[in-house]
Amino acid sequence: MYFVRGMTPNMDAAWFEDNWRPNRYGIEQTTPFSNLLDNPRTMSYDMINSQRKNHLIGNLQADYKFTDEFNLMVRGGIDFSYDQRKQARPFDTYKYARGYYREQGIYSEEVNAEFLLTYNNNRHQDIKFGVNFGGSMLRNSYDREDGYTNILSTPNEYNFANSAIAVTYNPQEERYAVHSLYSLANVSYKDVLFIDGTLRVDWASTLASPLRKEVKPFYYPSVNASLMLSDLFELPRTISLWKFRASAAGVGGGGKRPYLNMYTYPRETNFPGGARNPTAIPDENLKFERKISYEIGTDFRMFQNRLRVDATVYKALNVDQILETPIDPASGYRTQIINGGKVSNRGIEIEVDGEIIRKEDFGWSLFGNYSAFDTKIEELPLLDEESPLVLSTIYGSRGTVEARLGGRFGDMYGLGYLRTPDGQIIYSNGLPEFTEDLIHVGNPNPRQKFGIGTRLRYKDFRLNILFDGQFGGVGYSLTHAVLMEEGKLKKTIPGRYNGIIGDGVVRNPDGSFSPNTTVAAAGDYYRRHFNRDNIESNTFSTDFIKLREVRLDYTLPQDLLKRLKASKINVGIYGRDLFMFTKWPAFDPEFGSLNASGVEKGAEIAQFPSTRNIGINLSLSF
Amino acid sequence: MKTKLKSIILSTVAVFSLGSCTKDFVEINTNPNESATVAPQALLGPTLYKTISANINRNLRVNNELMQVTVTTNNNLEFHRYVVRATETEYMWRSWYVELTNIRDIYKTAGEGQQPGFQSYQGISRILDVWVSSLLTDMYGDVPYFESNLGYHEGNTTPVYDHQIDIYRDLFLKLEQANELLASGDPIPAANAEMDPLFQSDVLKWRKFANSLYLRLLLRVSHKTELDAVAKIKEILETKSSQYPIMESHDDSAILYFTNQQPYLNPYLNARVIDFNGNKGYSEFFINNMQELGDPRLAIWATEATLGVYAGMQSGYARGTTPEAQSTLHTGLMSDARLGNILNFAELQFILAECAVRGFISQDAQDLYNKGVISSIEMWGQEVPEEYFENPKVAFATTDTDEDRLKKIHLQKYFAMLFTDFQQWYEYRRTKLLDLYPGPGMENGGNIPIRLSYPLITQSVNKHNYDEASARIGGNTINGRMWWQPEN
Repeated sequence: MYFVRGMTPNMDAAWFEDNWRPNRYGIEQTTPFSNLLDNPRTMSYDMINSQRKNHLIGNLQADYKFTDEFNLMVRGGIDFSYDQRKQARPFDTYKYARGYYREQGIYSEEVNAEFLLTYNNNRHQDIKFGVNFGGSMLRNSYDREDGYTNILSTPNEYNFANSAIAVTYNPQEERYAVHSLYSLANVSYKDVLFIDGTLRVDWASTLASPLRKEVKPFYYPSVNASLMLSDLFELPRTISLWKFRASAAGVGGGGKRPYLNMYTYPRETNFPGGARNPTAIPDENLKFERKISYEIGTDFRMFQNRLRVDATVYKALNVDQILETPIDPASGYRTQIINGGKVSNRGIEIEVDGEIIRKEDFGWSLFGNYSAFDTKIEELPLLDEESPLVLSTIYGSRGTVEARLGGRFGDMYGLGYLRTPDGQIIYSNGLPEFTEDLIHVGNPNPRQKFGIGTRLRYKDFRLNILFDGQFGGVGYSLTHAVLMEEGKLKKTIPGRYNGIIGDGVVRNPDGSFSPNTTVAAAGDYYRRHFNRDNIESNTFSTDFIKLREVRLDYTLPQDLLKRLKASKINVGIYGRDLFMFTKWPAFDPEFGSLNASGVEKGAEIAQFPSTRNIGINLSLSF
Repeated sequence: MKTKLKSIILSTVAVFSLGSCTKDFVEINTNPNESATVAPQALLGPTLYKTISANINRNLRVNNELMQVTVTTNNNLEFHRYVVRATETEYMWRSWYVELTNIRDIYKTAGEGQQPGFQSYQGISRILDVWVSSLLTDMYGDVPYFESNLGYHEGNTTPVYDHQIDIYRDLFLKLEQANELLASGDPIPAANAEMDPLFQSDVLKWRKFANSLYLRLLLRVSHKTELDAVAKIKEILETKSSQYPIMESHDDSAILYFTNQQPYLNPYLNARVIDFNGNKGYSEFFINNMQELGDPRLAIWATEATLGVYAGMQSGYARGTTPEAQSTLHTGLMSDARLGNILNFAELQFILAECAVRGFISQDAQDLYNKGVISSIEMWGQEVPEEYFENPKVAFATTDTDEDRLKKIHLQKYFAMLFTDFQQWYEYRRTKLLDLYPGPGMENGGNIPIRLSYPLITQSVNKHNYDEASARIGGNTINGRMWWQPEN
């Protein structure tokens, strides 16, 4: 995608169709207008990635009822697949002037086994209780055979016999296992008060230390309580249900990446007997990561369940997350494996659903949800309290995504404009200057999200419409930067013919400032202002409102169904991601996966445009 | 019914026992792909190749633009105007420090393993350590050195930035140590020869490389008195020359020749021509000088701009006036074995010639200079034209001042060090003895950058030490002076 943006936007796709020179198929490309880029037709038709995958899933479950109260369940499952992939690149393509061929065979397997003993006592009218005890095991393995050559002897011939150099063979094996035991107890009083608690112990192979030859178990409990206020008190008849709930829960894990706690030397496959030091420092004392969350909420229903309100307030602590953090290469390494401090995460969630009209032939509902959340760094793992924890770097080390003590998780730092104390941009030779230091440019995590929708029903037709949106986050857009550098956005029109005078000041020899009066050529002006290194000018709000879904369904009437001997036939059309209201400059502000716990890069680097889906849906049941 | 019950209970027991049995977890989490230990010779080839690949990559991108070898037609690259984007400086920082871990580990693992030849491997490690550390400090100034590369062994991920003078003092100690370790003549087993792409385990050649590198670095700091560099040069070349063997012919040159078979491929072997030379051309400075010299190496290095004619581009051209590339990098270079140059015999001769002109040693500067010129031209497979040394641009004239002669030496040295990391730039910063052409679009007051700035990421990941080091040079700019920089 990064390459495609280099094309001139108003070219006819037909001009790219003959993508090889006459009689030079797979040897010499035609690359209209830009000889740096591969012809898009070559990318889609001649750079072939093939795949053959077999996947098998098996499950077996047995239940045995000793008595009405005492029950045993045993379950086992296996999921394995073999995936053969081949990648071929013709001659004269970017990075592969003399072709490329790769074969991979990936075998992956996951085995699960589980048992659960349950005991439920319902003998008493008022107090009911149950106790469960269970255990599970999981074993995962991944084996990859992998060979490639990046120089071929003759064109259009993709196999290892045609390699001009020794084939690089680079297999990889990975395994991990998790064993758990858990117990759950629940008790209820008069169907008004419910309390349940769990205790779980896990062993994770990813935390087993090859140095100390040991694996330590880790424990995490949870408690849940809910109270039916509507059954406990006499409430007005309009209130159909009022429930209050509270919980405190812990979840722990050892991650899915094995081999993070011992220093080992990777081989240098191409070198006879070659090896190197790793570029990540392992954590020999790697601990389990855990999340502790506290939550209170209420569920409230009125008018025979026609109005429903559900509200939750929560606080979660992410403790000792297993992270790979970038460090100063002067340490001799690029990254370090660590258990990362303590991040708190607070928020509220509200859902409302109201059925405004409920009639035989006609119904109309409105519903919505809203959530607001924020994160705060409460502890950092490093000794020096002033040092931030760097979570990732922004596109080629142009900036950093950090956790600073007291700050939000994922704050972005990068270069920006050099400014006077009162905030004016400082120019030199008609072009803006940049800071030497990284400045705070925002946080990619939104603070608020919402959804709002409506359901309409008329006879056998149903119409659903859903909008959603988010507010409060920002993102860096490389697409914007490169399109501005190249003058491909409308914003670059001012000054195109006569140059442009930037709005700001210049530094006088005596240190004072006076307004900038130097005319800069538009190309230089925009290239400097929106240079991809300027994180500030290429960072935009990721706020949006989207028309997420519109859906119209029609259910065939009963008399027709009888003739077709069907129990239900449903026909529908739907559209997803139909419209978007946003100031984001490049396609779609949802470029990455945004999540509340925050591991999020905050940078869009030449994304593909998101797609609008329109489809029809037919479902039959007999 | 009963058998069913039995089997269920049995399988429950089986599952349960598995669930609590974690005896094999340590084995499961022992990496089957990687080795817990390593032999010194295993690290040598990969680290040499990777360092050289990174060097040639940035030689073409950065050094050649600053030093008017080539001029880019890419609007986003402005090195030739002395504008260096802050994101351009991390590549070498990262590449060199990551490889320094491997290089220093050769010393450590050789000492721990005590296999035959271990002292020689320790010497080799010291030489490469000095080579890469000097590249680092000469590019950035004060850099982490004594505390660097200890992220794992000492848990130090925020090393202090050391003063350049202290770094140089220690580099010289390491070279003394290398010379002694290699003098003991601890032979490396023949079976390891293949794993040393530079000298095939020839210990004497490594030793000559060590002392030749010593001279390069001594001359670099000879403008300062603190380290007694001049006295040491005299000692190596005259009073104790038998204890310090140096390169005696081109055969001793430190060049990793690309064989173009795995693993030693020229990094541009599989590049498209357009990606190699498509957005740049040789500069006027480069082409004009080559032509005035009547130099046969031009045909190996450059393409003809039009039939039979070589031409260069203006370096530092003004924004908005991108000129057409003329002669450009010859495509033969994409498979040329000699792009892996580290320190060749010709460079050493020019070092010696400069020492002679400056009176550090009493040898014939003219003779050393001529040997350097011949060696470099022959290294590129050419014959020295008969009239070459009659050219007044080449020959030392009796009327030449010392500066005239030094200028001739440095022009030839510039060509002898083509495609050699950043040596052209480092040497120009030291001597200013090339008459580079000023360009109308040059910024930074027309002054060539003295250093590259510390990478952006260090502001976050090693903030305290970064702040201190930046303050020492008055801010992390391309103009911060370093210790060995002469005042001119």
